[in-house]
Amino acid sequence: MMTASEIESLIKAYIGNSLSRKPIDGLLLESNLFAEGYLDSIGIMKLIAHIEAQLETKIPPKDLVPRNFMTIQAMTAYLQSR
Amino acid sequence: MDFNFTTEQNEIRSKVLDFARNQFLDNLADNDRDSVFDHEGWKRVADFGLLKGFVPKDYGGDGWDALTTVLALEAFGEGCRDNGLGLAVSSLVWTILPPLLALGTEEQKRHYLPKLMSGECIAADGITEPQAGSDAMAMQTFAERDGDHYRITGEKCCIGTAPIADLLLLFARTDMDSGPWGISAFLVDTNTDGISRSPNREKMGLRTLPTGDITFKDCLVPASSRLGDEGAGMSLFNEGMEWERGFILASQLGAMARQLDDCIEFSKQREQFGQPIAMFQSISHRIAEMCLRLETCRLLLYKAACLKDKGASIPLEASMCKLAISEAFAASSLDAIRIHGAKGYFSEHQIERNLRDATGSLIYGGTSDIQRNLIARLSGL
Repeated sequence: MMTASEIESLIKAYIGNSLSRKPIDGLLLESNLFAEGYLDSIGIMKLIAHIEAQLETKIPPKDLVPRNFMTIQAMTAYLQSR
Repeated sequence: MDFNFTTEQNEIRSKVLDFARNQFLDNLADNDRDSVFDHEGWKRVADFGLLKGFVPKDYGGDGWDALTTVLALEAFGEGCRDNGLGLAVSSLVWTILPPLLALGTEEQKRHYLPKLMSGECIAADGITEPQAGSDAMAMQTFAERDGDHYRITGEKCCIGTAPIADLLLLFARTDMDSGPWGISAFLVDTNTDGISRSPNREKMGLRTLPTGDITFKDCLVPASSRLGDEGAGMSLFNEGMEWERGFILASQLGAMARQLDDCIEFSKQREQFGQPIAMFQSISHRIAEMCLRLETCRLLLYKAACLKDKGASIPLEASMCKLAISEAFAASSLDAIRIHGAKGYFSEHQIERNLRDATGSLIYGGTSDIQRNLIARLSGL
């Protein structure tokens, strides 16, 4: 199981390298990824697929809600709680 | 890689094809001209069991997997010439059942599934709005929490089966500030106070599938009608679109197979310049292109279904299926008209109807250009 720090780095790197259309210099763990323009609805779909592949897990549709995926912090907490 | 179907899959396909060929022979030209939905045909489909195939056995269905269901609906589309009815069946199976099965409470499933399987309840999928078509996540219909209820205000448009639907799978905003995460889904009975529906809107094709608009004005629905948690709408939309874009055109693929058979038969019988027109390379090459489109679409469709049955996410494959089959059906329908000549152009021969029906599939469920955008993004751009 990855540590919280490793999960945060994994997510941040993928957003920066593959998803965000703007620089991620200002991206914080608690940044709202949609509201601040780092992700769109296709981006979150790709991010979830990437997380599933990297963590070798399947995230059930019922868990794909804002409280679990609005920020990197929320994603990390959710993924660590599973 | 095994391209053989199971004995059960072959039997199901054969039974559905036989049923569809023999039970839907009347009134199609009239229904198409007058934009009439075949309610009796819908009931026959339900009585035959096609609406319950995909539903798990625990809920009274047959527990078919995606590939078996695709084969059954392809056979239905091949046998039944009413593409609107085929789309109505496909819409229920691919846009209503998966979200209900994925996120419905036990109470919601036990309440709605029997009515949907029996054909008693016709359901519509409410996503599109006047200002939110391709940009579906820009929807503005608002469901404001009001005690144990939600108060819904807004408008949905271009909704298939809306004029005749008993149930609406409604996507609406529960939070105006959270972008796509602010969308939730609801199961709404269409006779609820505050809902008004337009009559059927005339359109170019798929006329036997009534389509219209739905307006909500201070429409109160119980909180228990929400499907999944607040904010689950986007993931439900994405998951639902995998099923819809991946498989909703299975019945149209069946129509392409029937169309190809018709063209081959006609070109062997029709004589010009002293020989069957099949002898002319311009005709035979056209038929070869139709055959190639059919087979490549089949491969995409069956692969997507097999992947889905293995539990994979298939957004890329689903968009490719939607794009390929819709464009292929339109192209082959135009080829069919060229092959039939004047006979293909006059409505009385019921050949041109496929082109009108196929044109709709270039738009609903995400236009071809949106599918191209998705394919490009999902391929790494």
